[in-house]
Amino acid sequence: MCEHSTKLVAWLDGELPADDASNLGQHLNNCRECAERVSVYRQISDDLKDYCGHVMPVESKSRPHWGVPAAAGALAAGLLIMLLIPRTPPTTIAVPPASATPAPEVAFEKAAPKMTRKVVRRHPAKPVQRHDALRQFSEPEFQITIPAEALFPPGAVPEGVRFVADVSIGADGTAQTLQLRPY
Amino acid sequence: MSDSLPLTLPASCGTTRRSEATTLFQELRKPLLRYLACLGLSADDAQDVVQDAFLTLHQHLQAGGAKENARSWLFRVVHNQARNRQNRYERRYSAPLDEQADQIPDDGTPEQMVLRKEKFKRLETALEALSASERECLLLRSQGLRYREISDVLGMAISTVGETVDRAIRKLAEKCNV
Repeated sequence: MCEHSTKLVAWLDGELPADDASNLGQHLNNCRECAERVSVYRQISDDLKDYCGHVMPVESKSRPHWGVPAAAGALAAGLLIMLLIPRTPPTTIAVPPASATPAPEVAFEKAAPKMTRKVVRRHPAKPVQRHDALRQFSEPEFQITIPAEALFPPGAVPEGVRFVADVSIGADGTAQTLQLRPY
Repeated sequence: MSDSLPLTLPASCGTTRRSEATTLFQELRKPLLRYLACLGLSADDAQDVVQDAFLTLHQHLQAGGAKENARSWLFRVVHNQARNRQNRYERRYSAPLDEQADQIPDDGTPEQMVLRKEKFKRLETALEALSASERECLLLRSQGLRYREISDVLGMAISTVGETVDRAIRKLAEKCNV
């Protein structure tokens, strides 16, 4: 083995002092064995760099991006809450039975101020649209299907259990029906 | 090994400090991640370790520390963190390397990919056969560290680093039949 063989890797890495590097460079022109070794070491170094460059994707693939699932989960959770919270029926005010004795008439005319100011509307007010009118049309506008993985956090759904939630959304934006079905 | 910083440059203004940290982050993030992955950390663990290291470096720079040898300091910090995590998880360096060989991107013909995968497999096997110090020296060298920086990271003499790298390269060449 050539006496210079122990310095070849250091020469390849540029770690030798300038004089030693120069001498070794001249030696490589004359020593075929060392030149071949340098070629092998260079090849293995390049392979190692190649390997290290590909051994891991720089951006983690195992760490899930939660943006879309989180948004879908939040939407599904909101819809579920809307469905699960019982709607309180409109409170009905019990009207007392009509009394036999008529209520005393209040003299509104007397209480009203005498000086009234007449308001003249230049533009007649538009009739107020009642939003309640929309509620009359509660036919589902569209239906969305949410997978179980988007409804629950990772690991909450047991393995082997796969289902989706069909949610019908009405014209007023409220969830009309929720149906779970396996797939 | 202590992570204390023997850095002595005078402090400069906060903006310069921030830009120094940003430059270091852009320059060294990928090499640090790759080094940690080669040591056997999962991608998520590697991301956490690198993030912590840069946070500490940022605090150090904000406090007026210098960045002269920040490169070897960062590698030293993440190296020690990797060892701590591996001890905690009772894992060995060689364990995860096999799993990561399948992450080679599809950027060639099927024949090229097969050949490349086989080459990496041989390289992994050869790396696993090295001693810990030989493997660490080689991996740090692959990330572009000079022998002086490797000696800082691993706490070895520079001459020992040279001998270790030389011995490790010879072993790899022999095992891989290059």
